[in-house]
Amino acid sequence: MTLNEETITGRRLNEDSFTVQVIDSEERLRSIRKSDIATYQISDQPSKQPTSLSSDQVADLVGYLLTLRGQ
Amino acid sequence: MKNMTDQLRLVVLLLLTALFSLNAVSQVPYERILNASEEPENWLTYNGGYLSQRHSLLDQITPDNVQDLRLQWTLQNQVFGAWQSNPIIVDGIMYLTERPNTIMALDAITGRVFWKYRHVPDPTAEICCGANNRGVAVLGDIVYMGTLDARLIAVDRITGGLLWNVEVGDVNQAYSITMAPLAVKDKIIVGVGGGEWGIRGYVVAYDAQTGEEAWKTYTIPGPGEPNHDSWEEDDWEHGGASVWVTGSFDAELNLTYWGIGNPGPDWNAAQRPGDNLYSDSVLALDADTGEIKWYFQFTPNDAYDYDSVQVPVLADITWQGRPLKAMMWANRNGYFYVLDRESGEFMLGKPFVRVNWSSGLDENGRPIPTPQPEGMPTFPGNQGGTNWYPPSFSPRTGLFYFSAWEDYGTIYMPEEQEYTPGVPFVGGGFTVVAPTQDSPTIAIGRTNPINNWTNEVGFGSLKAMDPETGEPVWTYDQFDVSDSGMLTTASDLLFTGGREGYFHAIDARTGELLWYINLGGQIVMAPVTFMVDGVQYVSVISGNSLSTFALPL
Repeated sequence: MTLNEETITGRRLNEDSFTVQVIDSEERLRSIRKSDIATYQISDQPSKQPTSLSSDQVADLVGYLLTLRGQ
Repeated sequence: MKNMTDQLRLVVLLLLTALFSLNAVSQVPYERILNASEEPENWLTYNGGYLSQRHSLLDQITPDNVQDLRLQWTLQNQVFGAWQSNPIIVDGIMYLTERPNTIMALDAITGRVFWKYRHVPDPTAEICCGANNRGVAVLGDIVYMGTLDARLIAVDRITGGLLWNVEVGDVNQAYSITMAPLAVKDKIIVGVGGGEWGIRGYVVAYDAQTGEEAWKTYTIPGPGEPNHDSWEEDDWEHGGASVWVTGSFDAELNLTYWGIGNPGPDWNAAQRPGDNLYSDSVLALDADTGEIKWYFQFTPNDAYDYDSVQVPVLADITWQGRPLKAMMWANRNGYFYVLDRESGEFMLGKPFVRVNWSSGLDENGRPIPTPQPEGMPTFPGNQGGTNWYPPSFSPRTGLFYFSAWEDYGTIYMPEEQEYTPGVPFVGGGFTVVAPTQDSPTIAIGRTNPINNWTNEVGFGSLKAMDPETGEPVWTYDQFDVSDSGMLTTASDLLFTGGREGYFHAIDARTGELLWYINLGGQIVMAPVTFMVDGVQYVSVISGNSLSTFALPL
């Protein structure tokens, strides 16, 4: 949330002591002065997917790994 | 006609007299460097004076007008890479180096170059960490530079012509020089680099006029010398202990002080049992003979590459109610120290960043080791809690200012390694701690214009340390880490920078940011200040440009 009460949601691309560069939810490149930011929140969601596998593929992989027990 | 000839002769005589007088005044005898603080319009030695306080008595630029600073000129480096050179300013002439080993003389008001002297290092020279050079020394009318192929070169200050060029170390054994020499009395003192290549380090002094060796002191004692038994078998022959940052000098005590680098191989301490003296120490040497008068070791049997090549900062202070000839030292190992520089006695030591390789210091300042289990991070990391970049001490505020790296850790992977000439002798490797696998981390140098890591991997913190307590009075944090040194002035301004390319002016008493400008490239040396024709200038190198600022003329 900026001092102008604009809410910007996006992914951080770059940061320094005075500014932060993001790609916002409408895929616009925005450079924001930290002094213009009133409040901010960091999402718990990682910006990068931990895996490209689908949930079914992950389940298959875990199932296979479990079969290795004791070997 | 006769009268005109006489008048002409008189004019020529007067001109010659004036020229001779100018030359005589412009020379830089030892006494001028000794009393450098009395002529703050010049910057006569690496850290501004022998005490290495990097504190200037100039006060034209103040907290009230610093936001009016204007760029006066920019000089672009012709060679890519971290530009770590410290300018020397003598009566309006600036002397500095350009990678790899070129000396330049330029007009300090316009930035225009008078001459260049280019030394091409032997192509077989081996350098651990880039073709760095941190500047020159000036004495008399001679400029001195150490070279990557371990030579010491003297050139005429006015013409740039070569006077002499001597070998300091064997380039085939990876000896090198990256530091600015120190001129003391009639000698030029340098140390040698090569701590990652299995050298045996030393500090060596040369006759300033002839280049003849005057004395040489090894930083690893040989057989029969005191403390040789801090090494086993032949480990001492390739034990490193390089010297790559300019030392300090106390004329009253006639002692010159030098920070000594890491033992080799760097990360495998088990391979070289013992304290490995005088690695990671400060050595106090007699300036006339090189004799070791005392030493203090910060990190015995170092396993973390904690070179003690920080600048020894000297000041006469009142410390806990009594006068003290102090040496202040924020060490790469994460501890801040106060020593008595007459005796080397340990006075105080406290961690200034997160430290887990040691649980504290005993009453003599010796660390209590707490090595971390295999695969676990060590704090501070490989680049240390701080490093070689010059601090500042302001006698006005009584505070010691330096760049620290907070929350920066490394996982070490030691390996047994046999010494082979010309091959890096580091004993393993390391990785920088990251919050998740493959996430961005801090590099050893600035390699990318994008910072997308989080503060979990570390950040820069300027600390204003009170030497009485070992505690910071204030801190000033940056998102990125900083390899920038410090400059303080008599108007209580602190100038510094960082990898982000911002050049900052900060209130030295409060830590308040007063002015900053984005110069675009990493700042990896300290700013300097000087005065010409009544105008105070501040110069700083950022990336490949040297920028000089002053108030509107």
